[in-house]
Amino acid sequence: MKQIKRISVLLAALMILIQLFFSSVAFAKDDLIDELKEMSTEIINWKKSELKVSSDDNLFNNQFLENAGLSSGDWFPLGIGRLGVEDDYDAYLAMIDENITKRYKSKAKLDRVKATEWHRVALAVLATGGDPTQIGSDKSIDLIADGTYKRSKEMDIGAQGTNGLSWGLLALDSMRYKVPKDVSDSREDLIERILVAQLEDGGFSLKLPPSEVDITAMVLQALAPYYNSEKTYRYTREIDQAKREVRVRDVVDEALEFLKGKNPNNTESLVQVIVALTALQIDPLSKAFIIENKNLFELLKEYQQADGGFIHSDTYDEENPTSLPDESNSMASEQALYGLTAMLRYYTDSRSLYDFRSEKSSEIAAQIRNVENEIDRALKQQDSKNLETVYDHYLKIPAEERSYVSNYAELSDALIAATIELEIDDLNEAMEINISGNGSVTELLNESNNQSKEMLFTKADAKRTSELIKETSTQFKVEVIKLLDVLNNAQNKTEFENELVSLKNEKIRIEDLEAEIDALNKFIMTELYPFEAITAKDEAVVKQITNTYNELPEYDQTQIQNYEDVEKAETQIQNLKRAKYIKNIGFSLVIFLSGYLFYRAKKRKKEKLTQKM
Amino acid sequence: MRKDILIIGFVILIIAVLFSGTKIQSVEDYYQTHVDDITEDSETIFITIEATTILNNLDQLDPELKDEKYVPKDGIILAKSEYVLRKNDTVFDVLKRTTRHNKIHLDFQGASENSFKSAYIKGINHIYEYSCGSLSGWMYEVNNKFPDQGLSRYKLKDGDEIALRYTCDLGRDLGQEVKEY
Repeated sequence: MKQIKRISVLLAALMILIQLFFSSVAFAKDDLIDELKEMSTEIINWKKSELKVSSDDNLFNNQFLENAGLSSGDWFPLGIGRLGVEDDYDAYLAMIDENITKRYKSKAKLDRVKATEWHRVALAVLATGGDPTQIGSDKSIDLIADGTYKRSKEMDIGAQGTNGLSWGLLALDSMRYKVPKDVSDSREDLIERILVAQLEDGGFSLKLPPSEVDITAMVLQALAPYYNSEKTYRYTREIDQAKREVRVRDVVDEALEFLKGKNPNNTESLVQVIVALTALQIDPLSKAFIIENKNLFELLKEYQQADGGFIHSDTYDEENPTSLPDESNSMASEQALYGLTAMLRYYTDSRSLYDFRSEKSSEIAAQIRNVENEIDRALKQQDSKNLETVYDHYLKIPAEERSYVSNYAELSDALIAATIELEIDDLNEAMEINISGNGSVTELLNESNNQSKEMLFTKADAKRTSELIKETSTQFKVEVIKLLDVLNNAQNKTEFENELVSLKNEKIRIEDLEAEIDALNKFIMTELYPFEAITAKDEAVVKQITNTYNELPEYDQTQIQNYEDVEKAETQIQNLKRAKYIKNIGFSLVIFLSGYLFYRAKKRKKEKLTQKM
Repeated sequence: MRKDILIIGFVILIIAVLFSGTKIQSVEDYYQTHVDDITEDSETIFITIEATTILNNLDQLDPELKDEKYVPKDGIILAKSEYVLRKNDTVFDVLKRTTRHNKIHLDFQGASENSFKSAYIKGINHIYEYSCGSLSGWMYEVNNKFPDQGLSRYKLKDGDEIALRYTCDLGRDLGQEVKEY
């Protein structure tokens, strides 16, 4: 009896210990999540203070929104959108429509060579809840198609090296977009082109050796959804002409081996590795990625400054010249923000950073967790029958969700070892789900349900409209577009028909003004130089320039480049003209005086003659 | 008779003034129109713009740029030229001025439009980043060194020699290793 009692006491103690252990694990995870949230908030507040915005106000203020669609304007929206932090997403999307429409009017559209321009904008649009397949003032621009499978009509998507390929694949998979048949740069094409570009050490670079940590990590982010695919690729690797017959998983594992133990010593590369691991469902704190006794998160934290922002690196880096070792920097901070977001998404069992589909249902999430536990148990037992059952359970998970099973690779190895035939599931086919649709925004940072907020055009908005139409200037462009967007989506739209017309006209006027500024800049460039060749004949041209310039609103005058040269030309012409007047007067004087002299001489002659007579 | 001599003297004076070409202008006007003239006291810098690396990589060059208008035969877009250094001039200021004065196309991203806090050169003479392969782009050099600052943050001093060089291999063909983000 005593024995049994002792055993039961021991058991109870053990149970408590086990419970304590698990709860402390859970506790640690909660602490980590809190820390991630806190750091993310600090970064956002740092950026707000940089823009002189109060921490209660939106980060996307007018100044920030001017850059919507540019590399400086899209990465914060990506981070903030994936965190689900409240901000002015509508204004951001409205400015994207505006700015992209404008850039599409040029021949190169977003860029002649860089396909990643399309990819970045598409991802940021999805993050803020928009639809990148319907962009622009008339929603006719499809950033996904133009940036991926239609890209080759303009330029090879790989013209930037591996970057164009991996970001292209990420963009295609962001919503699991359907790709039309018979296009170049389909999913399969992109995967294969990436595999072909692998270097001998397993890593990747833009093109030639050596392998780079950040480029390798970006490739892994793109390949992550295919890690569990059993499809075999046969190709010749470009760098060494090696004939290969491998799964995506094998290549990813080689690349992971390249990454292990490498300390890139800068924020951005660490972030890329963290994002890659979370996409592959690998814990970024995992022992395999400990460097100098620190895990990746600990290494990343070292770059955060007291002001909340991140530095690029703690030493001067010649490769990234604009970053100072002790000054928080926008690029490091925006990447740190989405790196932390990727971690937060991983630890809260949310979709990975670049998977913009609506979050997994709790049933699917539970099903995946169950299968993961079953795989762990089956691998310990080494029972082939059990393995088959677990495999069946794995196959019951919808194909498009299987990439979230973190330990399938081990099951696959065991099945192969036990000579159990694997179903060559073409995960790639399961990637073809959507044609269009908005990216989903999920609140991860704060719990609040502001989903069904009423959109109203207020009296203050109407008043501001009447002020804005009084003075047309590009200075107010963002404001006009924001108001127009609010009104277009407002429930009380019909009450403000006049304002709608006014704002639409104002938008056109501002766009005309922008065109005028561009034309004037171009005109100055072609007509005014070389400066030495300016003569009085150019007066009309310079006058035309100054007249147009003087008619511009004060703010827009600052948009004219090197106006000092125009003023210089004006002075030059004035001087030339003055010199000409003086010359003319001088000549007239010479002629007059000579005439006078001549007259006097003649007169004297006459006088002499009369005297003689 | 003395009056005549006086008038003759005056006429000669006017003719002399007219032919010597002396311009009559105020000090401010003179300064404004001659700010970029090199005098004995002016501080100056030298600037070169070249894309010679493209000549060895013509197979990689964007077909639209295969024209001497864009890539000159010798690859030199602006041969070494001396320019006046104005107070607080950065490499970017000088580049902007010299390209305008020579009617060379320049496309850049302003310091506020990117995350570098410095202006970023996209294209010169219509040659852009990636125009000659996936590792190509513009780099700048001051006194034969690649500075560790953005070009609108680099303040110049008297006698500095600036070179804008195009690389087709991430700077390795210029004897330098760089990385882009």
